[in-house]
Amino acid sequence: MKFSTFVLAAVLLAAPATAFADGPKIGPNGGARTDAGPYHAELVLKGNDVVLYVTDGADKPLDVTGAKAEATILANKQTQKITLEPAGANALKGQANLSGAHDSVKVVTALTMPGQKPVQARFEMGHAGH
Amino acid sequence: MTIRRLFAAAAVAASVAAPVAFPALAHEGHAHGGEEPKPVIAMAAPTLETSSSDLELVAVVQGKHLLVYLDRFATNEPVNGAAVEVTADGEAVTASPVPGENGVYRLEAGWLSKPGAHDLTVSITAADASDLLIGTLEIPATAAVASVTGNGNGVADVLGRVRQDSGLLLGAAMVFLLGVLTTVALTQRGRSRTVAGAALIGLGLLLASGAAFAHGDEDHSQDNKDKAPAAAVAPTAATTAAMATTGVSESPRRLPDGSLYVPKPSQRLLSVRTTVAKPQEAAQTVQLIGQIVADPNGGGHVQATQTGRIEPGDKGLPYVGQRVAAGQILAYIAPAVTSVERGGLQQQIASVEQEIVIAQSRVERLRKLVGSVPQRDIDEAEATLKGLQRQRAALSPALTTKEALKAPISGVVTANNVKVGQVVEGRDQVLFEIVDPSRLMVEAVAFDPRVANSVRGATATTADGVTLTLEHLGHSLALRQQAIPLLFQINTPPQGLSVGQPVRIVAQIHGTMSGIVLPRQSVVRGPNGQPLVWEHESAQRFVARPVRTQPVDGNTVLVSAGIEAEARIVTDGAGLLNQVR
Repeated sequence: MKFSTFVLAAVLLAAPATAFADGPKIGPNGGARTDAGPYHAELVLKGNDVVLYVTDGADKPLDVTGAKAEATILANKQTQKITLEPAGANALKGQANLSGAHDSVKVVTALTMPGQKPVQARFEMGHAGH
Repeated sequence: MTIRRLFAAAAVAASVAAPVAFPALAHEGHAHGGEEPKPVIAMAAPTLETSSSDLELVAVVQGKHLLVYLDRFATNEPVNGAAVEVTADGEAVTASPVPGENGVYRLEAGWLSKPGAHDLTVSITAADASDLLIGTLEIPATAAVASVTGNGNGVADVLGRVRQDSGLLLGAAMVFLLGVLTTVALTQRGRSRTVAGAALIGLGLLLASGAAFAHGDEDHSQDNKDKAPAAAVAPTAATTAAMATTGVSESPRRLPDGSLYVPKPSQRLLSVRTTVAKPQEAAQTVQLIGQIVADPNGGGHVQATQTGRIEPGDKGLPYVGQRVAAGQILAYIAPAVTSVERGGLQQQIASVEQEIVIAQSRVERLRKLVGSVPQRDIDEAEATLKGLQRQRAALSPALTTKEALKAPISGVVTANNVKVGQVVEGRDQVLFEIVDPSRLMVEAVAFDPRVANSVRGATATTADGVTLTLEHLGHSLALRQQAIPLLFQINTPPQGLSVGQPVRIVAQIHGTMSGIVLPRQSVVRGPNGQPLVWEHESAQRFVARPVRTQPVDGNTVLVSAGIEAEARIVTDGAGLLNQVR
């Protein structure tokens, strides 16, 4: 009886599971890293380039061929939306108008891995953490 | 065994509540260490809570509208005048501020009536802060159905349907009965009971899913994939209905683990404010008891120098509380002259007057003989006359002249010990006391000589909560009743202090201690009398943290144990939160 109750509970409980982001950390590419659904995502801003690196929960790079990503960037009080395209290995690349300001830039990415639902991630650039 | 069974019951209850609850669950994929399991909070309306280091956002679905409550993360102050844009399902909608409310924004969007999980991106641009926030809003099927009929949480819709359909009414009654029986069965010992419990759960779920699929003419296109959630949602609707009818859901309440669920509107009403805990160094303190005394240079006594009768001054006798200026005449003393003294004086006056008459006639006679008598004799006679006249002038007012009693300093009359006509003795009686309210002092007693030697600064609090900043003047070298009197000067004394008023003094002594400095009103008393603070743990949840405190000064305390750095601690409204049951 107990086992069946547990199974029942587990099934009912599994439906509304939501990702909760970790505090910002620094990833292997020197950018802010956070959780994006079941993945880890790292965002690097370089000039006007926006690069998103995707790894799995164990930080192994994931092939992003066929994946899609959108980034909403808040810089200098202006919001802009850009599309990130797969750029080899586990990176997705895009161009944004950042005018060199990388501090206190906030980025939200929506990553759609092939055949998966979109997952969101939020990055605060230039902040050591909170 | 029993514990496992209880846990199983709890798990079932939790999972049933989960679809409408705030989804505070660790995500799948990999494990996160050290995350405390948060209690599942059942909310009537689908709610999204999210925050960044600057802002905290709570979004609540209300019918076809989404209400967005926006506050500062650190202080919990509502953010007004922000431009809020919510993007979900590829649709960007700008929220407009709700008139008459602080930091509340409302928007209308089509996706709000679609059940399922929606990923939201909220872009906020305020005057001093701009931010991007994300979160997932889970809209249960019933809420979506209800929103079609225009109701916020689907409760009235469900209730209406139940009322219209007698079969459903019967079903609802049975589900309720089953629930009661199940609870009883699960909380009792014994194998037969548990078997009965399991059977009842099964029956209940069957009934519930039956009820969920029994609704009339809705769109069934999603039924296939939504079967499991629908079965889960049906009992949820029943719990929601129960909550809404009792009005529990939208009011602050205490959760089973002792923490508080306080919805944003209630937080606004209680004007809950927080501060971020920062470890600090503060001077060590000791508490002393003292009282307010008058500065010797700012207090005056009025005494008579001779025995006499009190006569009022030009404006009457001063009353207690009257403000007087230095030099102002408060009263006169008419000297008391005994009859013997009076007789002697009158005798003197008579003899002087007699001599004056003689001297006068002598002067007149000599003046007629000018030229034949030496000028020296005339001058002598005139001088004698003048001297006698002065003697007479000095003697006569001795019977009538009054002594004026003047205020020695400017200040307020604090004691008046005389009445008109009262005869006072000279010197030993204090007639009036005057205190300068701008020059008051605090006198404290310390029993520890080390404290007396190391006091650096202090603050004092009166019984009515007025805080005084004190400056240490010194301490006596002579013990008074085995205690050392310490004297403090009050910097800019406020109105309404009185001499003799007791005060509580927090004196800073040498040495420092480290901890988190909080305003005094943050610390409240728990039911067992233990000091505690309320931590703003998540947007709508507050947790009591028992603390060890030590006063820093009259207004602040130092928390040396009980809370972590960076925790958000309630400052304003802690007392009100403490009363939530």
